[in-house]
Amino acid sequence: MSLTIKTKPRIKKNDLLMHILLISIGLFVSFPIILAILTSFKLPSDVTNYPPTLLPEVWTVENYVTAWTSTPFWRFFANSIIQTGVIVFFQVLLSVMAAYAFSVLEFPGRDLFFYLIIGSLMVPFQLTFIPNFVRISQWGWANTYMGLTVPFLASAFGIFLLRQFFLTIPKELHDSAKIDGAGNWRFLWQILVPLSKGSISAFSIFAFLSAWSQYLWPLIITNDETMRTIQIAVRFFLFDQERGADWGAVMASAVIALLPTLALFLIAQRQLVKGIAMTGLKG
Amino acid sequence: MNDSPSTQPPPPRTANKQKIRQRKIKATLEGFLYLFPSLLILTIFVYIPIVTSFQMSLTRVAPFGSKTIDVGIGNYTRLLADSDYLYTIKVTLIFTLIIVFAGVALAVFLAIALSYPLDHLSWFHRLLIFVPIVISSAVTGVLFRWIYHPVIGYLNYALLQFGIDGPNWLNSKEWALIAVAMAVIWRQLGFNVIIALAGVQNIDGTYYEAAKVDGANTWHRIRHITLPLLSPTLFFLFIINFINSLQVFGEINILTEGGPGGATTTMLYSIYYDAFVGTPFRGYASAQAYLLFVLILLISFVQFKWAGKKVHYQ
Amino acid sequence: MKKMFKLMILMLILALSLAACGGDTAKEPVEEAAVEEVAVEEVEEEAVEEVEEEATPEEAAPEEEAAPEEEAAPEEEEAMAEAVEIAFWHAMGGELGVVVDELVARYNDSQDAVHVTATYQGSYDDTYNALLAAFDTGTEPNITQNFDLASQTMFDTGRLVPAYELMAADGFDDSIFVPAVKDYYSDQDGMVAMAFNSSTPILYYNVDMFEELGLDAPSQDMTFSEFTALCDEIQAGGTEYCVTFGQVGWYFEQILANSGGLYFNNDNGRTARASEAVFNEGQGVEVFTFLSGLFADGYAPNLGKTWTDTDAAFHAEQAAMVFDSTSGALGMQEGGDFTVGTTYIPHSDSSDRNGVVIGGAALWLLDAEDDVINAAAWDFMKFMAQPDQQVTWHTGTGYFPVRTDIVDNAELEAFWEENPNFVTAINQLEDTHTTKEDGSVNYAVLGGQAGPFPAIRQFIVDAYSAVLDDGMTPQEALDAAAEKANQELSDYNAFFE
Repeated sequence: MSLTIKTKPRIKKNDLLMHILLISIGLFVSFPIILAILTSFKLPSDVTNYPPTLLPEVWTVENYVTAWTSTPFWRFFANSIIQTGVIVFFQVLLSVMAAYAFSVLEFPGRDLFFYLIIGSLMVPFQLTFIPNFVRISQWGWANTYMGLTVPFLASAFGIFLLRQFFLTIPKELHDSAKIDGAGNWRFLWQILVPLSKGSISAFSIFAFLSAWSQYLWPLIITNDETMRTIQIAVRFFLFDQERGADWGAVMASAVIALLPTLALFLIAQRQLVKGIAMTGLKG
Repeated sequence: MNDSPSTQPPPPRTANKQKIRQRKIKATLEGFLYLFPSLLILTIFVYIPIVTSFQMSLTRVAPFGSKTIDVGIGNYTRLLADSDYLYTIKVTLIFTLIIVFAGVALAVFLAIALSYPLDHLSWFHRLLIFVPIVISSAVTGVLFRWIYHPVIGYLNYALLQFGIDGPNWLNSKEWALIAVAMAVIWRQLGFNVIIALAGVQNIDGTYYEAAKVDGANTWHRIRHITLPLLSPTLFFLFIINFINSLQVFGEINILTEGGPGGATTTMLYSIYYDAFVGTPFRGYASAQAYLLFVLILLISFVQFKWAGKKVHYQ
Repeated sequence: MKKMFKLMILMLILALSLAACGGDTAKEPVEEAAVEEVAVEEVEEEAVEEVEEEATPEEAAPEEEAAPEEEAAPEEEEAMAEAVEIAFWHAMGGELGVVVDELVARYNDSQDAVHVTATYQGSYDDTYNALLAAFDTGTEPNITQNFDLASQTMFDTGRLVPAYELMAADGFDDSIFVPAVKDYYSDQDGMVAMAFNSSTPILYYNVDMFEELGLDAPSQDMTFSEFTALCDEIQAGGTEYCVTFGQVGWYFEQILANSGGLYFNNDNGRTARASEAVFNEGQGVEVFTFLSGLFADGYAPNLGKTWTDTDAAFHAEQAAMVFDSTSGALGMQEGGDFTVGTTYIPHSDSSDRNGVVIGGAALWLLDAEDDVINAAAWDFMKFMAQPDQQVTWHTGTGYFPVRTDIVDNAELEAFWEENPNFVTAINQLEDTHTTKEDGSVNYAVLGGQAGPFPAIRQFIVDAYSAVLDDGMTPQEALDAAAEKANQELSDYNAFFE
């Protein structure tokens, strides 16, 4: 996958310089994360030492114990998993279906609907979150998984993205499937979806990341501790009125909050990068 | 109608027409069914709120929702006369410009650096640089609050090692906005670099070969080949970063809560603040949301117009 | 056609789950919830289990309502019905939260009729915001801990069951409470909320550092100029900063009260609804000049609006003194490697020491429109004010005990012996002049009361920045703040005209 031109036999020295440069930039960029991880393993009393140190003098999981026991942390974690799981599942399902309609199916009004859906990307969250908060509240969905998830079950972005991919699938494939007697529904799930595994998993990862990271909406729509997501929990550790922020526990909770997405990234870096690159190129 | 197909030549046109029409209806119906769930959700949670929001912006509601006063366009007139709000607009513009330009420039630089062909470890470099992409805005806020800490912050400690007395990042009007913007740029860096890198990699190698033959140096190649051919990608990045920067909430909420003295209160934060904090006035907040909506539409329109002329598509 | 059928089923499920939302709001929530559950069940089994779990406690309350035969006689209920569920919101995080949980558990273990679920809502501001939002969503708790500033709003919601009603019905004697606490949470009819966690700001100082510098312990009756003179001595001794405190509204309010200044007109909003802020006149200007001057003149590091970063500066010995709440006493003592002393907050040169306004928060009972539930909630509130709980609370946190009749408690005496810093706050409050020399009420130390006070407090926070960043004079900054405050007041009061 080397992109620029293959030059002649490379000069080793340049390579080495490039390595050093890139690694230092990389460490600089990832420093906040590394720092959080290191800090979270310090003794609570060492966390606020000045001058600050990088490595813990004594490695301890005390901060994690604090984070985990002083609040129903497992519950926050489970809430995030459920919220994210439901959103990703539906976003993928609904996007696949709509993208199929917009790419393979042909019917009058299709373009109109397409613009209608893409147009929703132009409506900012800023405009909708207050009315949606009021509406969801009136339905009695505050503090429920419904309230956390339902407004996000459809993704115009996902529809757009998958449509772009479906459009690259040769039309003949659909025609021949038709001849074989496969209807749209079967064609979609048995042929098109397996073919689009890459795009779909890329979008799933993308949906996962944004759902997991949600902050403003869960902040306003939940006030019951048992319905809080992990992102909100992190905030509550930090803003502890009339008591100093326990930075050790704050860092431990932040690390727990970033762990699932970090793990996903380490496992599925390729798909993630590919997925994001794909969206960019077609933009 | 036509039950004798073999002997008499059927009036093919009408039959076909009808068949076509039937097929058309069926196809429309089927297509619509595939769209229906997405449309439904988007209608309820995106399109209807456009109307509700406007209705709300014409009222004033008591903080605990029990009483409503109709104020007509009162919220809007007050908004435009409110010097705090004008300041908020200014803050938002600066914030957006920093994030869009600094963020994209940095990403392009890193993408070009990362596109340097290396035999080993390039996955590792990418890993380190892409990794902020998995960090949420809330966690970003927490991480940077720690780094910016006015007393025991790592950033100022590091600056001190170079003999620089670091600024009061989050508590001075001068720096707070920049500090928050830096955190946001960091969070979006992974995304931006990935897209920029894909753009760079997508450029046909033969352009470079040709340039090489002509004796162009690295800078020239970047300046005259990479950047122009990257313009669709850049355009995309500008738009996305522009939209994202208007949506920034987590970092502001955790780093500064809009302070000091409103220095980091962007238009979104102001909406949130007026709708949910202190003594909430949702009508006033809705009026702000509406103004922002119109603004976004206008700017996007201009951007697309402008891009239509300038962007270099391969 | 099979695939079409499948598609339609799927659609139907979705439509169903959304149709429930399309209905008007007056529908019974339970019914709606049921429809949704069925709908989702077919799609996402895992999620549904959780949803159902969630739904149960919510549904429990209405069921309780449906069977109100048993009067408020908790003993009889034991075997008959399930415990009455009471939702209790509080703003006590970290170690404070642990103590709250302990007290709640103690209550739940002590009897079977009532079960209290405590929920931490974040800071006072968060809790207040969450409560206002909850009135929209219908998810308000039975009892909420709400801070001093919220009092007026709490009245105005019309959802309050005033404590005096319950006290009267129950024969509860409110004279056991510390007078300052009782007065603060009273209207003309009596106490409207149950005092729970009360605190005041005190000045903490680094005893070791004072000894090293050869300085006497700071006096309990310092004027501003004495304070800055002390600062000069401290900083001459090489300490980077004299004092540190967060730019929150609270210290301004307290030092203003200590200097005898008013925040709002109409006797601080106590004799009639406040319609104007008056903190930009007289004492207010003097106080704010002093406070913002501490930053401007390099006596205090500018840490912004924070409750927490100041501790770090104090513990890292960058600052010799810190203004903070009494409730932080425990953490303040333990955080640094030095001895911590405490004294009263200062007052202006042109005034005598008046004393402090009670801070912290109280417990408010929100009407569940059900006597059984209200009685259960009241039972819990009473429990929290009992001597045992108050002793645990005080020694575990630093909030002072709100009742006067436990000062002889042996456990407390032993505790105070070891922790003299806890006594400072109690003395400071006792030394508060609740009446003026002519015998009239000293409204300054009763503290301001106004509906939009939480929003107005923020204008004082902004005023710091106006002085420090924009170069305004304290008078100009306060004028700007007062102007905005007056707008908020008139907006708010418009709802009650």
